[in-house]
Amino acid sequence: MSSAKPPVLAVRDLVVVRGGVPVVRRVTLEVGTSEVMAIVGPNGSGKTSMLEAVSGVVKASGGSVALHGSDITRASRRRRSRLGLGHVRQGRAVFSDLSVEENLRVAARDTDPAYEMFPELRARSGTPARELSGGEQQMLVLARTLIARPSCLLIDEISLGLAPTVVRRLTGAVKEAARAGAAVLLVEQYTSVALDVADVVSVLVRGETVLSERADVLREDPRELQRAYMGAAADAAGK
Amino acid sequence: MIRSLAASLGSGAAYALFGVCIVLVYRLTGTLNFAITAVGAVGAFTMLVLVETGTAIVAAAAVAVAMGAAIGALMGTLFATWFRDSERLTRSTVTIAVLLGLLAAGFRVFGDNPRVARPFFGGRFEEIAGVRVTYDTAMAVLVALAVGTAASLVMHRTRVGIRLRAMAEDPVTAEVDGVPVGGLTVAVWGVSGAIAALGAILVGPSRPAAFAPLVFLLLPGLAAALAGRFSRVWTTLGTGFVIAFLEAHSGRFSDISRYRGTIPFLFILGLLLWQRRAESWDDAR
Repeated sequence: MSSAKPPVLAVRDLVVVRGGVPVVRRVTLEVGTSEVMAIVGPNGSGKTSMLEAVSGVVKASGGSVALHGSDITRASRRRRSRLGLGHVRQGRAVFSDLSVEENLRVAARDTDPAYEMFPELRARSGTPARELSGGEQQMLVLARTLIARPSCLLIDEISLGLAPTVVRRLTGAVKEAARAGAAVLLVEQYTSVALDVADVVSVLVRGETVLSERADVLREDPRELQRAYMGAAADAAGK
Repeated sequence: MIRSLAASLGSGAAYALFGVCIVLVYRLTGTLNFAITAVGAVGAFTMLVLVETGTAIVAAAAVAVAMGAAIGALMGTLFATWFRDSERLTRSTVTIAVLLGLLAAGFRVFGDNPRVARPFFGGRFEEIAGVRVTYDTAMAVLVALAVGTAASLVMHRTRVGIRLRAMAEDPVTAEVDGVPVGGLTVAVWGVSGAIAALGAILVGPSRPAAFAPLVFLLLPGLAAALAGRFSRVWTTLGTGFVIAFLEAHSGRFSDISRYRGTIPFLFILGLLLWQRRAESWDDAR
């Protein structure tokens, strides 16, 4: 879990309560420079709530979040963004009435890096985002977040409902961002995607971390991951 | 008819400006601002008081517009902090409370006697096609057109406008992407307050009014905004002028002239029925 480098993102004993129910329970993690951490777990395990508490979309009910050593637990979403936090939200969060170019300009004045990342977006720069395919929309959201050059990138379910070729393009861009120095915290439902892109994989079950291990170890022997994940899925099904 | 048109231009510009204020605030912050004309009326009456005490008319107008902007910005701050995550209905209801508060305060401070505003250009006029058009009226029309053009250009040609539209669509994602949602919300309310004060000032010379009747120019403003579906600036502007023309023209028919105050209501009713026509016809089939 820990990195040799000082952590870009440090989450300590994070608690998130929604509708009176704790959905994240004392989660602790660290992500360092150029490190990719994937959080996997079944639906309802608290993955999205955890990311949203880190970016300020929901309030943390307990614990702390620090970015580059600064406590941002009570900071506004805008301040977190200015400090270098980027968040690709779940569900292809494009601004549907805005064109591709306008979507990109929300985040940065210089939009060329986005078109270099995903050249197919250039041909559709004047098209309203609602008219893009699902894959193009996810490319647009990821590109919009990356051109703001975040030092810490949160990504929620990047592969959801997309073809494997598109997922490879997206994860390629994520790896490139990490190589350029970004710390990446990725939430995924598919362990294959998580193992492909991450340095460290954690399994979240009912809001608690039940496993955290280096991805190369889990790639060698995925049984522990399968046990944790399948146990979680069985738990969820039996709930 | 041309005479009615000329007579309606001053009021039309004011209705258009009030309508544009309602559209801007609704489209960008999701709040139907019922207090907009009250904000404008406070600005306009501040100007009248200042002029009565000897302040130059242009300086008094500048203070009035600044007053409208300040009240608007205060309301924006209220909504950006206390009602940030509230439902649209809640936020819109709060503006009714603000309307009533401003109405009571304005009534107490400014009284209920109708006041006549001094014209900016000393009553000079040009005759166009046999119709007298004052310089003040021409200025009111030009200001309305300039505000419409500026609003369209800012919304579609500038980065601030793009960020405003993003904020209107999904404020949480916009803020996560670095858009200063709180600051922009305050700015939108402030600008709309300034425009409302401008509208109330411009209608003054052509339409003497007490504080409360000026506030109730909200109705034609709402009717214009409704015609623009609370999103289209130019449709709203145009409808403001159309409503004023219908009011002025109905004054030429003695049988109906006393009912011309109902025109905005009839316009709203007619528009709502027209917009629901498809559903009604489908049901009838």
